[in-house]
Amino acid sequence: MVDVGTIIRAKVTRVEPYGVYLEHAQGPVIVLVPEVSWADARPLRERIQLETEHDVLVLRYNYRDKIIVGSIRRLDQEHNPYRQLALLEPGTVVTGRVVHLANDTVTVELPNGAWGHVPKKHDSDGLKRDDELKLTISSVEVDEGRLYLQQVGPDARPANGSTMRHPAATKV
Amino acid sequence: MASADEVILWKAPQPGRDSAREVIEGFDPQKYPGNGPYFTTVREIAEDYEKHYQAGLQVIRIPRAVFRDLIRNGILVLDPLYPDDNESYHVPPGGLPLFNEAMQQGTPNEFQS
Repeated sequence: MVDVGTIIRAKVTRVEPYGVYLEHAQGPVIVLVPEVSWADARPLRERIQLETEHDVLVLRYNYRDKIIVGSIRRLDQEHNPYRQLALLEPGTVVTGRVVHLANDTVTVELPNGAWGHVPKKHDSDGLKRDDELKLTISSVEVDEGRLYLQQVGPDARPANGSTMRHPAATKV
Repeated sequence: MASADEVILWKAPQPGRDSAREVIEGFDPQKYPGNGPYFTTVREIAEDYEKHYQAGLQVIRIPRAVFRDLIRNGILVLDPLYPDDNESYHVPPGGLPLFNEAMQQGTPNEFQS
């Protein structure tokens, strides 16, 4: 039985739009598409080749289907945009582009590719897709890729004057 | 916006689906063989897939009592690939006709491109 949290080496046996199947001595493995990479949005069949080997972090075991559930991207922290955000000083103002508006939350995309969620304010009715919001980080879950932000006023400046730099100036 | 008595199911469709029509007319069993379509109650999970599929987001609203019945009757089946109960489900093709009826009973569904 494979140990959760360990890193295994596995070979690709099948590639589907939703994930990659691999084989390992201790059983079959699946890496779902969100856990393959942080930013590469090309179809999996364009970037994952059959028979190639990959290091996979074991996340859990699916007892019903008897398959190891893993992650490739969590072993690539150099390109994790949420880790970059976690290194920002508290109060750093970032700009988010509106991607979705549904219910009481706005989904935004940040310049480094991270997606986050912002509670709708009472004056948010005029918001539309592609609007830009000035935001500060409320919380970030680096490995899971979860980001929660709050809106600041249009003229807000953090205490230290820092803002998130354009991605051209920040290597992710 | 969903009412308090509704459950929202989110789905990031794969490219090439008629996603706007699906949220109105339902999901065709012939187009979803095997385990059928997958849905999540956690918006962030659906968006994780949407970032990769880049084909929009389906928002389906079902009255809470109807949702519970779908689970009890095995129409909505828990997806064991996600760790927490009630995060992710799939609808085997044989259950899609009933699921499609259920999705007509809540606040209007949406497709966000």
